[in-house]
Amino acid sequence: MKATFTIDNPHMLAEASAGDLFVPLGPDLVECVCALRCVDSPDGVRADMPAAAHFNPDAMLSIAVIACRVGAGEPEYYPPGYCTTLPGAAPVVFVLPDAPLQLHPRVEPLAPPLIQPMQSLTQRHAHEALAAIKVALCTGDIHQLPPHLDTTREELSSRL
Amino acid sequence: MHAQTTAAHVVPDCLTPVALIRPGQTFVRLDSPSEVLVPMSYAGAETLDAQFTWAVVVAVNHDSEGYVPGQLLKLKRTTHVRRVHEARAPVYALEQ
Repeated sequence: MKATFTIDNPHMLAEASAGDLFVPLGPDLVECVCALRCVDSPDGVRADMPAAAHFNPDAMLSIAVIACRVGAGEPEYYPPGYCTTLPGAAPVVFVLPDAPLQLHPRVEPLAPPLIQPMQSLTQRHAHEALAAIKVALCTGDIHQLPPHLDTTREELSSRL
Repeated sequence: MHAQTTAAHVVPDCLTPVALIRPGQTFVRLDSPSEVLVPMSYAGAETLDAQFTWAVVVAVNHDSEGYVPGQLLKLKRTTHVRRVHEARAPVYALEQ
């Protein structure tokens, strides 16, 4: 998921609550929109950390990458869903989505790069075999047929 | 050329077991499509579990009930989900 954002006005990660979106200012995940890792609990959704870790700059907080500004293969790319920890004192800026996410169903190609060469190869073999059979029928010499057409040779032998 | 190729060979329904979704690929559940999910990963590796897999909520619809971005969900690996992709890259603005 590609993202666009600008960075200003830092806060501490320890200030974040469940569901807040933020961009770490370094040294890691500087290209990523992240959120605190949250779990379901009887009291509702809560951040996946001990209560004492909240507002504690020394605590290591579990976070998950939500979106990344750079693409796969580029430096500082982390896939959405990547989980790691950052110290509560890590500088972050809080962000909000500018507009609702618009989705389309993913349409998967059935590997056309594989299918098309296979189709052309099969077609070429069929043309070669047909040409060889025509020559054999014209000349009456079934021994001119290539070896991979043994069954055809036997069938022609029985007919000739 | 590419458009013709993909148009000629497409899977009409893109339901797939959640176990086959790779890290970074987005999907929605069939029974609760108001949350966009991605598989949870550590250092690019999938979480290893024979029966279950974990997913992270990355976006929620306005009618989503109680889910927030960053929330972990435990799914059976055989659960069928629908793969989706963003119509355009999301834009984030600074919180005022």
